[in-house]
Amino acid sequence: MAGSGRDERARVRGAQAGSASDLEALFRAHWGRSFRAAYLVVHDAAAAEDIAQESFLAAIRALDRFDRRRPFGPWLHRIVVNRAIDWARARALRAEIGDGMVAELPDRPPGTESRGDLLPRLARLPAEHRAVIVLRYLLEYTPGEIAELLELPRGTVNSRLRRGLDSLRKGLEE
Amino acid sequence: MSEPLRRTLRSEPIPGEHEARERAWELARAALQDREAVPVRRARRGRLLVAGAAGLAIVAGAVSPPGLAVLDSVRDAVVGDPVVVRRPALFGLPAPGRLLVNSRQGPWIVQADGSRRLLGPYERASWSPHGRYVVATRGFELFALDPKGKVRWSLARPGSPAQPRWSSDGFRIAYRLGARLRVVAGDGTGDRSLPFGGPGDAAPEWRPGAAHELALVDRGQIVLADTDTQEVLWRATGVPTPYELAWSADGRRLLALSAGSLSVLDARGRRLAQAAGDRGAELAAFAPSGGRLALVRPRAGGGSELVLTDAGLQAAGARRILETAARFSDLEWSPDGRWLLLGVEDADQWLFVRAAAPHRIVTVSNVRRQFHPGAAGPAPFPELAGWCCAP
Repeated sequence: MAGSGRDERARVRGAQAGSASDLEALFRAHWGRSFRAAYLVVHDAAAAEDIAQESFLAAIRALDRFDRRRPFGPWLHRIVVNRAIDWARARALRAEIGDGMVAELPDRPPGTESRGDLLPRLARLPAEHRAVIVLRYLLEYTPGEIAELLELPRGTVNSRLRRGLDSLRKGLEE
Repeated sequence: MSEPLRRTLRSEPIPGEHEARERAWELARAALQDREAVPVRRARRGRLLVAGAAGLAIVAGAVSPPGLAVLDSVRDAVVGDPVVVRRPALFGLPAPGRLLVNSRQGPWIVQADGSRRLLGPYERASWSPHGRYVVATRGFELFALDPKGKVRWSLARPGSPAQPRWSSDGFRIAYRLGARLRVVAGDGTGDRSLPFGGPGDAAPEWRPGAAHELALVDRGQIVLADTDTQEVLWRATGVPTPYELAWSADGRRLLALSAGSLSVLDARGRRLAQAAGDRGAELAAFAPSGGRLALVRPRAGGGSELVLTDAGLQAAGARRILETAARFSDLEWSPDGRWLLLGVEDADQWLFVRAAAPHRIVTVSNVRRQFHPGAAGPAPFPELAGWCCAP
């Protein structure tokens, strides 16, 4: 992580002033989880790279307008997850979804099915459901924070979480 | 349920995670520098957003205005509404292998991870088989280099060596010296003249899998010659003088590109197919395996189209992949036959196009600048000289 909130604000201020080292600190702190979040929503490593890359670029271009009193992570994660949802929706419209989505998931050794089956199950959920699960269980946002990030009613977030988890659980019990 | 899910989400291995991070960091750093140095980039961002709203799936990085124009025409005409990824620089190749690129500063080798090495101040270069060496020309000399640019041998000739081509077994190099063709052994010895040649544009091309059989243009006709015995194996008649020759990977087909027409010959010089007029092509390349051909054709009203077809050039088997208002200037297959690389000089871009549906396009902008770093004035568009086998 980027350290304390104060440290992160200092990094953002430095990056706004053009400091590559401060930008690198922010990048190193946030790239991994952003890329992983995108991957878990789109299930395509190349697309996840593009999404996370472009999200960082968008963030850098908008640095001058960024309010330093706010944390950097949620701002970035909002961009990443919304772009990932858009990408997954577009792919579904092109009927590409059967190609790489499950095929890219690595095979699991026998005996570890309960954990290994989670990702293929996750991949079969609608993109919007995958996104709230990733925000909740990877990025550790509360349902209220997710609602704010995705500009959704809190009830919608809760229902997507519940349905998503039910689907994952049901799949494992079958 | 929630704890196993958390563990899985956090620990799932992602292909290429480390490389993706380093590519992204290079891009982020460049973007920060651009933001300081080029405040007018804001205008580009506005155009980018317009394009994004129009429905592009992924937008990666800043794009030069001409690049944007090409991309719009690509998007309008590609079969199957592909995913289009735009990159402001070359961050990597979408398939294994290495690119050889000729620029005014010299030939470059681009690795699959996007790293580039300038081999030195040479004029033109081409690959040896398996990419172990590069043969290059400069002034009065021919050079054999390793991929790090170290000179293995050089040969001075009273003229300007040009169009060097290394045979598929590695034991011969053919090249042009003025109007004549010459052959030298792969270790730089035994240089001698061949009794063939004449003015022309087509580089000689070794037949894959055959011992030192060279397709060349002699007095306007296509000839297959054994360079060891200097015997003419056949001479094709009725084929327009080509400006480019290319063998299929199995050595069973020879492609001849001429002004306004395209011919496919078999290994005995018999014409199998010919296309002319608007079915002709400006650029053509056999896929690394199988009989597929990629063709770049001029488009009515300007611009180019990319077509995949079979070696019989049957109209029914042709499949148009994309068309743009810009002209394609280069065409290469990836070694695995899954991607095509097109140069778009007018837009200062490369387009990587996945050959199979669903098509995916990666555009790379600012190509001139990347192969002429530090150039003070306008730089020429670099030429592709081969996408070679993985090391």
